[in-house]
Amino acid sequence: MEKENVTLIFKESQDGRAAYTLPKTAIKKKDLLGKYKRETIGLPEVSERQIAGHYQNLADLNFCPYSEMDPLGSCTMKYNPPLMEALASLPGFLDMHPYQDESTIQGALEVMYFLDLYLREIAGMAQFTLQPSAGAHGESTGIMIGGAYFTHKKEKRMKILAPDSSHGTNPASVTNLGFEYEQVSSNEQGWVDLGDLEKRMTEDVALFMLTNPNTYGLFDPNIDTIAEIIHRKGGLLYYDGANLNAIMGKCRPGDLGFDIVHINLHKTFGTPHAMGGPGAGPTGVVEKLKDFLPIPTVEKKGTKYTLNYSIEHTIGKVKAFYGNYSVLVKALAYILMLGPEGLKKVSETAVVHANYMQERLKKMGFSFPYGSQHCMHECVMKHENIDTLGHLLSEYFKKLQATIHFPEASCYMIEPTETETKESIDEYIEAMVEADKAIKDPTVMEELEKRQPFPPIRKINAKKGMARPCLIEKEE
Amino acid sequence: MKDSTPYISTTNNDLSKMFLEIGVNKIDDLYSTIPEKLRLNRDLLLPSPLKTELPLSEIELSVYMHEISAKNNSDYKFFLGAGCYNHYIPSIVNLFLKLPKFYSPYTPYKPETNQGTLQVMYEYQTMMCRLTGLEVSNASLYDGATAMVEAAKMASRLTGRNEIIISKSIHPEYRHVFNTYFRYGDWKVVEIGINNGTTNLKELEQSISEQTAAVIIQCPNFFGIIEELTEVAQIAHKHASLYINLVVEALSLALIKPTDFDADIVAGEAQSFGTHMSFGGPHLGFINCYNKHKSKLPGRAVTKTEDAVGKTAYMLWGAAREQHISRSRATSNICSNHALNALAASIYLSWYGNKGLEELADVFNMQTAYYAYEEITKIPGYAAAFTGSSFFNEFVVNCPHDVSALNKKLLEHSIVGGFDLGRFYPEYKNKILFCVTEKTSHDDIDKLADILTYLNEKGLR
Repeated sequence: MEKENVTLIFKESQDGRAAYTLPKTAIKKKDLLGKYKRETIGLPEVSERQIAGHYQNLADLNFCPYSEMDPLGSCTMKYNPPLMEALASLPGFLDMHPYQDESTIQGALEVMYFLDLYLREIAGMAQFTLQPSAGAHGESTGIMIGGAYFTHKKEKRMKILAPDSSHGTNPASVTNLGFEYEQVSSNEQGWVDLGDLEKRMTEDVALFMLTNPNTYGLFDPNIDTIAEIIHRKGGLLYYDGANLNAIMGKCRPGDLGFDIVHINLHKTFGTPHAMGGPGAGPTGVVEKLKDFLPIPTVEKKGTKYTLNYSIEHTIGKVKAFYGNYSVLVKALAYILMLGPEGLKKVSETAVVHANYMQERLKKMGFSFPYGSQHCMHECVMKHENIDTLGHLLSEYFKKLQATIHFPEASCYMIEPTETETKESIDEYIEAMVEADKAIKDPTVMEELEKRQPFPPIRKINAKKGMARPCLIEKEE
Repeated sequence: MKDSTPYISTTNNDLSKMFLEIGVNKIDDLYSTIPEKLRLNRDLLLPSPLKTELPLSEIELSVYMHEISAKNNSDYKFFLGAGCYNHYIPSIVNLFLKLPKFYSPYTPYKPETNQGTLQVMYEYQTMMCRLTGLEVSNASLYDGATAMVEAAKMASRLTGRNEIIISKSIHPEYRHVFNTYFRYGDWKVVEIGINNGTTNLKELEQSISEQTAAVIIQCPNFFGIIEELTEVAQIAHKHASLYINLVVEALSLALIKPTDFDADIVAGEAQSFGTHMSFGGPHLGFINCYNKHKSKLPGRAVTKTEDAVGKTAYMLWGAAREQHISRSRATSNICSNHALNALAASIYLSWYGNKGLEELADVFNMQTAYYAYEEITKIPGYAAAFTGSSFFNEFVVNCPHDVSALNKKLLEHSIVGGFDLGRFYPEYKNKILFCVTEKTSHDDIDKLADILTYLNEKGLR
């Protein structure tokens, strides 16, 4: 047996091999570096043919959402249209320097202008910044905007609340900016415990961060009461847009009482997750917070687009330049392609798919602790052998595992998204039933384990990886 | 007639079957938990940028996007860098970025189904560490500016101190981002001035104290100059502070290894390794550090391990540092990162290899920049602004004209001129920062010099 699935590129290296070509040059090489001159780097010396083989083979070790449904709850792994990839790769978008003269970047600014305009309408906000690179980056931005707003009002509010079921990024964003985090309980239905919120919502609380639909996949119907509790004490309500895919065209965070909203373009607006990123997390605010947005924003003056650097109480900048521009292009293209009706259809279909999944699995005897109500775009199942179930699904049924142990231990959070076919959802359900049978019946399990797993990688030795980390390859 | 929307396969027939299974009659039954008065009882108003209403067909959308991208006139000769570099990107890099198996999958939380991603990251981490001389690399951050913020917070956690010293020769937008973040919490940020284009080391010595967690110096700095790194490290270490070497033009690493100058942490931007300028993002942030500091490292990192039958395998390491496990105690809130850009960097670095990257950096960037520097400083009025230090692929000269007026004139010749330093440094009004890369030929430089000479004679009108 080969020890490695794909040989490390460093081990393919041989002196004298190289892929690069460079122009002829008239320059007489001089030693300009003197004491700075370093020794050889230690990069692989490989031919272009080898590079092609190496990366193709690595790609083949990845399970691709193009071939299989990837129902990761809270991640919105929808199909990423190749059209958007092609459009974002136009030379006029890629080979553009952020400091070029404004007259030469009018197309670039037009993209940002329209994206901001559309996101405002979809979220019910007054204006967006397109600068944040990810959802968590949007959270940081939103918290800083909230912080600056209260400083401006000369109010000292250092506490930020979020429900126990919130994404880990919420509390991490809070404490990493020096605010104090406090957790609010959820009730038996998976909604915010209003009594607990009321108790914790004091006049030193700046923000309450909430996803709605929440991480149980449920729309919290008390949202107007929640908004009232926060606003009565002068606080701001923050919308974590991770689950926006359920409600486009049905309701808007702004109308629900939210003051700050971040949107994950790589979830709701179909831009790729790209093995972890880049994504983008545009952050919108209501009218009274507009003057605190990062600079610059894009404005239209007559027929010209321009970057506006004069925002009265701006928090500053949260990244160099203007944002993850290529991602913004893809999101705009997605919105133009779907239009108002299409976006609504996206959300509606996502919700139907998740409910179909929930109802069918319920009928098969699976437990859905919050399943007495209709879910939104994702549903949460409970299973006492959830780790094994997940492994069996991917190893023997070639079904990608959903999010496990979230929002609670033993939970399996399934988000089929709108882009899957009914057939693929049915197949997933059938695989789940088979895997569950194997867990309950050792003879079925024995049969199953005789099968060749996909891909040929069995359970990872996580203990070893954690106890003895090896984070880079040592030079031989 | 088709009854599906683009990218949705579900037909009306499918819908009715699913409704039946769920036990509802219509879609809004599923939305019953949204209070009636809070629902949007109208269509979204999305005004079309065209005469045609939305949605657009693929053909219409394609035509529109081609039109607006063409408005950007990307067909220029660039002499502009300033934190975003116009390097050539090999076709093989672009090819693999377009592979669904790379651009579509999620973060590799489940190692069994993401070995490709994990090995790419492990190899990327190794390449970055070999460039910087350090022992641990994360698997990417958003960009150089946010990497600088994260590195400073890391240094503060490691030292238990809350004062950070940054040089004014650091990219002004990076400092802007830095100051935005460090307004929140109990921090002291000290900015050190510039002397003849480099960090004023005397001022650094006077400002550093036993409260200083880190000294951050960019090298090559915003003016392209290679700073006196050894002395910076000595000053920092005398006070048990960490020295963070910020690298914005990563190609310089092919010639300068930060650990040769005792850097403790290297943070920065690696857009130069295979990522397009793309109007400023997405780019590639990174942090490298020593093993002893890794528990405070922000962002994902991959470790080698084995699978159940002893075969080499990879997995994410150190989840205890990360937000999805540690929540409010995490070393950072980062979740989405820039993995695809890290893939681009790995392929790019493999394509050049050691000799290629060195030749690219030395001959086609540094030495070509020196050629441009010599040609331009020959022109009356374009004297070198700072003297006595080496530079990499950018340099500053005085400008006998208003810089933005000159740049408008150069644009008529399809040249994007240098960066107007007066924009961020009022004291450097009429100084211009030129950048040269392998995409700048000798002819391009000669042409620029000719035009500058011509404009001296004719004036800008």
